Amino acid sequence: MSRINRARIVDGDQTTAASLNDRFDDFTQANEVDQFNLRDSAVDLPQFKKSPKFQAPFVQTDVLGKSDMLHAAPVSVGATGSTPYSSPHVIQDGAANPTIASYGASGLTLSAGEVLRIYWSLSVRADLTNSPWDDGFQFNAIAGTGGGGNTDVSTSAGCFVAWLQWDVTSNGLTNWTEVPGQSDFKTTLGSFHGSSLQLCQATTVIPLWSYWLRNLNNGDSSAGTSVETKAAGWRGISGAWHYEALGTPTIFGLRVVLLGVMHPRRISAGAANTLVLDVGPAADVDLEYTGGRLVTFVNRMK
Amino acid sequence: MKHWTQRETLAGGTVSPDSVQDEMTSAQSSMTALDRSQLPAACVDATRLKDYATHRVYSEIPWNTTGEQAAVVDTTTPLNNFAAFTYQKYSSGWVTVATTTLTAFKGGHLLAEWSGNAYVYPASTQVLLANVESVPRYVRLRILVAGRVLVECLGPASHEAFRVFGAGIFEQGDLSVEAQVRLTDTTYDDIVQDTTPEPVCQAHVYSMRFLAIGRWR
Repeated sequence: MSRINRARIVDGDQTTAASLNDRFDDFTQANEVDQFNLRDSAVDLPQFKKSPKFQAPFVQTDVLGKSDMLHAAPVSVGATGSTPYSSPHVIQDGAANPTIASYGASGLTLSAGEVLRIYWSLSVRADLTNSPWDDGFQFNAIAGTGGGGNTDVSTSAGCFVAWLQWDVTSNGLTNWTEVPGQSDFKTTLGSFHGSSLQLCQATTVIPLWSYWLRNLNNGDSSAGTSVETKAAGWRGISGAWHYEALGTPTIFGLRVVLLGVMHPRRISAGAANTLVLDVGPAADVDLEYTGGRLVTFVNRMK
Repeated sequence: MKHWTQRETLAGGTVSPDSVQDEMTSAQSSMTALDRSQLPAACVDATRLKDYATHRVYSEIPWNTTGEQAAVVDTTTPLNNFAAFTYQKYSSGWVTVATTTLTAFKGGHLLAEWSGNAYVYPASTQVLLANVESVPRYVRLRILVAGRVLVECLGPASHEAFRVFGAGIFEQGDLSVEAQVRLTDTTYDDIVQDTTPEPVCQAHVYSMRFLAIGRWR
């Protein structure tokens, strides 16, 4: 302990060299400025270095998609008609230029004890024709006692998926792979291709439609009911993903890709939940999008 | 601002107890009570701080082993449904679908976010006997911290992504965190099974991730 604690000088004390030196030595002992000698508020914002930032050492915002607030001419993505698919749609600016986050020639190197946080948004709309809810395996037969008999009632689970890819190889940005914890939806699952839900950690699901029955009576799909459907209109979707650095990976780029139409599927009773590509509705489904943002944060964990 | 010097010693001056005493007291006072005005600006960086001195980030990805809720799982649903919430298995109320502990939270500001994907079966939205235009179906979401609601929202109403976040001031300690969901309650008229008959999946939550930042400076 280095707190200075020496009796006061009072009348009658002798002023000697030793007594004065002792008092001055009090201020020269090792570690005199320690936790006892700093007030509780001694360290505050002015004392923190601004560069390099150590709580959030890196922040970057990039534009995604096409800047088109009025949705005058959105980018359109057709649903995939064959499985497995060849390549997903990369979010672009409407002129076939991919919109990605690029971290420069030397990339963004994460250190141990840092967490990468990615947040992105996009304006999207389902563009539907005919009745995609009746295609593929988008429905279940529900009992009906009315004139229509049993009805194929859509699960409304048909969706597009958006997920993150990164390039951790070079600034050439030609080696895109799925981020950790994320599948490419090409895994063979019985007669389908998709991904277990466990490997959808960087996936954002985009709804396509809602299907419901008006005046549904006691679960009967046809007695006095009528089918109502609604395509998913313009809406803001978003994604959030984070990654605790293992080792010191260098990231050169990051992008968002799209694929659809996906639907829940289990390959057998008791098997894991998955999302697989359903090519049935492909001819009737497009996804339109305009603009958004992708924000990259790096935070120190401690 | 504190005084570093009380007096200036002059040649021929007299030495009194106070002339030494005041100087010592002044210096001691300054030395034993350094505050922000006496410390240089920008002198603190990560190398000068102990771990978790100013903040701590808590991360769970996936949250809950696979990222899927496992609280209510009906494995007898049709194969094109999730094995998840059915009204045969889920009765009512809030269900905890993921938990974690914010170890050694020092007390202060907490930001917590829970993100993932959710699915709701909307086919029974406009039933006959509800006597209302519609009964929208939602997966309501909320985060509890130390048993108290940090944030609660209506939640998704279709098959879509969600991100729920909130902030508050919390006491120090190992804080428990619970993610909970609550479905819109069923009505007499709902579709609960197909023609097989197999229970129809009403909802699911998956791809769950959790991130929290505690700040105490």
